[in-house]
Amino acid sequence: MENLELAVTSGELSIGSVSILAMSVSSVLLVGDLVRAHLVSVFESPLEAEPNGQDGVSGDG
Amino acid sequence: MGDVRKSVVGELSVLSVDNSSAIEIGDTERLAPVSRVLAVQRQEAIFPFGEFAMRNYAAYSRPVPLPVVAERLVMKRDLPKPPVHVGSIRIIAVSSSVIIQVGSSCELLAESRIKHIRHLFREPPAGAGKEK
Repeated sequence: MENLELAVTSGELSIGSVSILAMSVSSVLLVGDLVRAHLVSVFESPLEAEPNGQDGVSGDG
Repeated sequence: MGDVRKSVVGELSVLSVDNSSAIEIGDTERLAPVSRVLAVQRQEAIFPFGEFAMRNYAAYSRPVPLPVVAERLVMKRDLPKPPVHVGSIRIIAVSSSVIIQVGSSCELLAESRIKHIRHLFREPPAGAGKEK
């Protein structure tokens, strides 16, 4: 496996203020170093409400 | 992970944290929150026991393509163990499988699978819409 080298010349990290109203599914707020992130979100919703007990998504249920 | 950082946070305010979310101050090797939600909205709130099983829905088992890792990442810093300073963080709400971290991490794996179902009557129930 090949090596990929990341050089950080100044490691100091400073943030004054962070204000967030909302974060949705599989989200990341990170203040620092990160090698790798893998975020997965699967969302199934009917396009419109179906009558008589159907969920509006074919093949499921 | 290598060098660790010192994390300094002046203020952290989070009003609401939902399913499988993580708030972390400091370094971690790996965080992997997983959330699976089955949300059913029904016109009449009758829910027999054992009516829904997650194994019956493909949303929870459908394979997700993983990224191909073809190299190994090595991080080098000039300053040994430099600190992280955060004045303030204010968050009103976070949903499923959210990671909030002040510090360093090697790997973050967040997974959220949500199936949303709505059930409505084909015909209005008897007496519906009639004023008394």
